[in-house]
Amino acid sequence: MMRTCKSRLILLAYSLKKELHLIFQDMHALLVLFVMPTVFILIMSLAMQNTLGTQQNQHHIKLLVIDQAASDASKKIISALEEASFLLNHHNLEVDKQAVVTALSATNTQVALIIQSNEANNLNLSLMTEPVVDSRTLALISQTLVGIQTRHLVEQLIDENTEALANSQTLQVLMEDPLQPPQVTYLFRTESTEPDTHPTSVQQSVPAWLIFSMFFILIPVANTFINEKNFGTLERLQSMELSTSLFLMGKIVPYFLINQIQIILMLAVGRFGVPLLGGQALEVNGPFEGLIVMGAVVSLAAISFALLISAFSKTTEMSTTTGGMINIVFGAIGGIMVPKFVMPETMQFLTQISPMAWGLEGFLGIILHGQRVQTILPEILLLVTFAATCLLITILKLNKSYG
Amino acid sequence: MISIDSLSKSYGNHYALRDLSLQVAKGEVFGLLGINGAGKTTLISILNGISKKDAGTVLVGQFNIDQDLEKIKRISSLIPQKFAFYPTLTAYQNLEYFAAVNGYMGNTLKQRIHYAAETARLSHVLGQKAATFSGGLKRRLNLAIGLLTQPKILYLDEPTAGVDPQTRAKLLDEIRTLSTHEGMTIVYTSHYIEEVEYICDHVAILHQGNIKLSEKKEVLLGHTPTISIKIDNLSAARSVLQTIEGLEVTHDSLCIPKNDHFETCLNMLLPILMEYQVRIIDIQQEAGRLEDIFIQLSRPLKADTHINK
Repeated sequence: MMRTCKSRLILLAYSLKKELHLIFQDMHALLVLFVMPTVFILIMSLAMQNTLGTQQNQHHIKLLVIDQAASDASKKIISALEEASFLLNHHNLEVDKQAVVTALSATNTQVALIIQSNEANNLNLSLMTEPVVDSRTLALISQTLVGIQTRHLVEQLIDENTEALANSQTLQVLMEDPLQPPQVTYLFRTESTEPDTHPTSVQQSVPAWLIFSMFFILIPVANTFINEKNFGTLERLQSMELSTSLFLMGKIVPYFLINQIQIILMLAVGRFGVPLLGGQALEVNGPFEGLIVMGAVVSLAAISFALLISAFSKTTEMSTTTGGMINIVFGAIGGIMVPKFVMPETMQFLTQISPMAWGLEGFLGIILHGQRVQTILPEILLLVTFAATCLLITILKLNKSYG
Repeated sequence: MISIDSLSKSYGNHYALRDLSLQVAKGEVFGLLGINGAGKTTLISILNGISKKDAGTVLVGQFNIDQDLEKIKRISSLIPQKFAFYPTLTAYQNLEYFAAVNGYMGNTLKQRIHYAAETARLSHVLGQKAATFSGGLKRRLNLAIGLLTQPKILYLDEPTAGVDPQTRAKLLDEIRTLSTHEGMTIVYTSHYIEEVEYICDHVAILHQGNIKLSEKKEVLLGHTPTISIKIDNLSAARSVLQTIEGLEVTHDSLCIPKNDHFETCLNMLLPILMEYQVRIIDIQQEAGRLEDIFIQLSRPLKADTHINK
């Protein structure tokens, strides 16, 4: 009988049923696919809260203050910052990047406030920060500083006599040179064209550990595939009317659905689980369809990679060791374990070879930067190319081995 | 049903099959005997489209394997030596999946499962996980999966490996029934000569990639086995015994061929032995002819099997 479209769909349905039966009896695979990312997301979101930041309040923000102006006005700013519960370390040094880096390190601080005075005796505020400090924290510091300056100006105006407001010198200065937020300089990094926003801990953790766990679909794929090879089931299937492509499709579809369940669960953990433990809820700034597209292409890349490793492995031990190690390397260099933006420049360049990094960039584009699918097209194309290459090699290998 | 002409297959510089020719008639149980590495599995793999041949012509039914492999797959089925199914699934789930792979759906799928389970006598354990089965039941499930398509040709690759003697005997009877009742052509590979001798109509001996002998079983067993009686104190009875037709008399034994005259010969022999008080020391049946032929043909050849380039 010719295999009709309906019979193909039915075969895929039975393949799905079979694979789900197999996977739900594989406790190890379930732990890796669902429990491991949940635990990682919860732990890392909470653990990295103080490093990557959340929508923070100033009670926990430490500032290194370098007061070169040493004027009454600068002291008032420092005093106001202290009143606003900022934790301050004072330093008196030249504004030199290396010196600031050393001082930040010595005081275990990540942001430095430099207060200088210009020729007109007006204060000039600037921030020097380590890249791990997220944009919201910087915005909070900037807003606080603008607020303090505004308050001082208003107090000054009141002191000068409101009746003479029209001739006020302060007002004149303010109108000619309105208050600007402090200029921010990033340390450890060269100038970048990337948006200067960084994810919160939960925005980093959810996609990162989700992608990592999606690539560990390798374990159930390899378990069933290699058993099929070793038990002679694959030979039996080859002796039936089943093409290699349909056989692989029977593998891809079930595991694709399992990956989608992972995505839904991990997004839910980020959105609802992390806040329950005192963390910040995951906020997705981009379109929902972007998440669907990214989820689909990361899944295809992960499953294709798992099939490739399985096709070349003789035992499940071989596949889980080799594939697992490659996955860990992909994760380490791909910004999964250590966010890309805190890496040195050379390491950041290295992330470009990891498919996990492409996935993470794409997810962050949507979750953090609110980008549309068109904007993350390069990452999507890279992942699709990776998946297609893995599948092609797998098909060639299977055709060679099984005629 | 199967016609193979000048079939060759090599792996690297080693011949697995070399200029092999073979005919299998429709409806017969065809035994393929050979030691490990003789080329049995390679031949079965080529016939089932798992491996590709290097040269030669293979016709299965009226189909040429080069042009109509898919059609050949539809009329034949392979029962591998290994338990080629999913042990953590139930027998029913296994049958269901393989039926879907074979393109069945709906009621047809259920009917095929019912047929395969009934034929392989598995119906009572369909809901149990295959991993919990005994060796015999696993063999039956392996067989049932192959029966789902009700094939015209069934390839059984050492189907009784690892099975206890009682279960083996039952399995052999059931396989024989598939030929006699269902009209299937069965190609049966085995190391066990007694199995092949028991169920096969035709036997071929494969050695170092080539068919050394292919004959009907009756022809092979034309020289019937003999009953050998070891005796003591023959001298007085010798001249009398030599008058019995079909009886071979030596200085210390009597040999009676197990042919049509066997019973008559025995009836004449026993009173004479009693009368002359000839003491019987031992009675043995000589090994079957097939075993002798197999051992003789499976000796290492002087010429090597490497390709001379």
